[in-house]
Amino acid sequence: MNSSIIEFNNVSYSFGEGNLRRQVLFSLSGTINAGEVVIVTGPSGSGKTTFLTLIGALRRLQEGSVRLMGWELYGAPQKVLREARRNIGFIFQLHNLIDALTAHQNLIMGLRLHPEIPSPSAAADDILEQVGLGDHINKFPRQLSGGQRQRVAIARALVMRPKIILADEPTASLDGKTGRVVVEQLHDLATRQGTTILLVTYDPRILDIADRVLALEDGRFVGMTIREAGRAGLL
Amino acid sequence: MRHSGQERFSLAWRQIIFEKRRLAAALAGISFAVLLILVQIGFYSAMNDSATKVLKHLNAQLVIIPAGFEFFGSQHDFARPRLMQAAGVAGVDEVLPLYYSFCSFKNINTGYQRWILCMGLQPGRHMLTLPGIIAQENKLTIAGGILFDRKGLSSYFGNVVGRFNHDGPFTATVESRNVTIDGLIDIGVTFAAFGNILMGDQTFFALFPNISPGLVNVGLVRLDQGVDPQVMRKNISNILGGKDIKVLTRAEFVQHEIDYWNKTAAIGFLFIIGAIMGFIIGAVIVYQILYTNVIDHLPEFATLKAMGYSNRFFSALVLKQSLILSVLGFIPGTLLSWVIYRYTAASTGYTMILSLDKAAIAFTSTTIMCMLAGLLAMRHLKKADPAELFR
Repeated sequence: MNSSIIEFNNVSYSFGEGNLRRQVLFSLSGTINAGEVVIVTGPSGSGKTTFLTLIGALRRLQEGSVRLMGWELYGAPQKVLREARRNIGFIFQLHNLIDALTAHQNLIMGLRLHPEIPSPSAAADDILEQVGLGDHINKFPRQLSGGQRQRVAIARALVMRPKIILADEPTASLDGKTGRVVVEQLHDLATRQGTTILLVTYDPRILDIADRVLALEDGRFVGMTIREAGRAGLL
Repeated sequence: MRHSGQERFSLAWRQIIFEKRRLAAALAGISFAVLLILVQIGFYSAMNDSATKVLKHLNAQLVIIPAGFEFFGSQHDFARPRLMQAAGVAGVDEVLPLYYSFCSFKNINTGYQRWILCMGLQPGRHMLTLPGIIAQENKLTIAGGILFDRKGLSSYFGNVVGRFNHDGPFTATVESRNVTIDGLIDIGVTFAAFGNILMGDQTFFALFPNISPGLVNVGLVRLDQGVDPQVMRKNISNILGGKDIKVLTRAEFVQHEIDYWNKTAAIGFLFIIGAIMGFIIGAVIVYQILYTNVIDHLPEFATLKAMGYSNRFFSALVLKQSLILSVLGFIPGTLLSWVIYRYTAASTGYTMILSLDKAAIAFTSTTIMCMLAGLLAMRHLKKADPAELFR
């Protein structure tokens, strides 16, 4: 389990041009191993979300290199970026489900990109059952509660059997208890599939699921343990 | 496998039917555009149809018209001996003169004098093949007997049709003289006249003492069987010579009339402008709908992009949606137009036929209109940036 799945070297990133140019990431380097659960934390504006979008091939690298499952993302053509994204399960702050489709159909939309997965319909129902939505398979997002929607989003990410899950504050719109349940489900299912998780969060109640915490401050990693991060008020 | 089969669905379709209110607005807008287009081309072709109705039913392969002839009803004529000359050309069976003149017809209800187009024919010679005329042609031999245009504007001439159907033949006043309305015939309103009356040439010259039988408005030239009208047209033209007349085939005569109203009088242009307006209004409405559809679904689209969907997928999605909308909007729009056609035909006397070719024109323009709107809306797709989802 110790082979690296993400390697990033000297990743820097700035927003804006000329006088308005503002650097948000400074020469970040590191490695994430396959199957690891890593939490990225830090105060607002520390650059953690930008970092996540660069790792996830959603933003073009300006400087440095990211090797994701063997693909070099720096200067990679659209086709490679798309291929990389197909192997990542994204979970967003808001569920971003397609309102016009049922829970089941939302999962199918993802599975259409993965013809290699056999009997997609059964696979979708199966994973919805695993996140406890067996009775809500054919409901539309607007008929579900916030927690249920986020669980559909998790099911949608996991059903594609991604190598990596990138989650951006998946509990932000949920109450503490629901958030905890949702993240535990994510953790259980992902570890069962051997999926690597990179999760950005403020929520201190879910830190214990992490194998490792990367704390960002003003665009730089600050070496600290979970306990230190808590004490520093970063969480 | 309980839900197998459910993976077959179309996102484009689902999104369109999901927002019922938006769908209703879109369909109303597109129907309206279809309606505008269809009604405008309906009027346009109805006007052309009725303007050329008599011409199309002239019972001769060739016609001779005066050189300055503008439109059917314009006051131009040529000397009758010229027509007789044509009768002597080999291959010509016979020639017949058609006379016409605008005249005053006294509204049978209000008594006001109204302009109407009068045509004088030789009875029994089947100069016109209008439906129902053969059975009534003997009526033209009666002195003072006329056939009245069933589709003439009743608001203009009074309720002639109603009175005739109720009372049978009755007396009316043309050019301050009494005539008998002996029958009805379908012609219709044209650009030139709100109605028509047919009569025998004896009656015609009795009503118009100032018009000479020696001056013909349109000469009918019937050919022997198996003679080529185009060849004959050239022959007669060459033999007759002169700059006072023109020899045309019947089809050329019809086209001459259409060209006059569309090019010289530019009336056709008005209808084309109307149809273009409908097209633009429809395109703007569809664009608005597709645009809001794209903008409202940006996070959803961005999510799909993050999953690995390509830009081409979204372009295809928007185009599919615009196609679906054009088909869905075309159906009620056409039904509505059909109702308006019926209503217009009943109340104006125009022949309004919702033919397949008109429907095809409307459908093609609707599709092009929706595709254009779709292409415009597509530009907003690039705003669907997955990186923006992380905020």
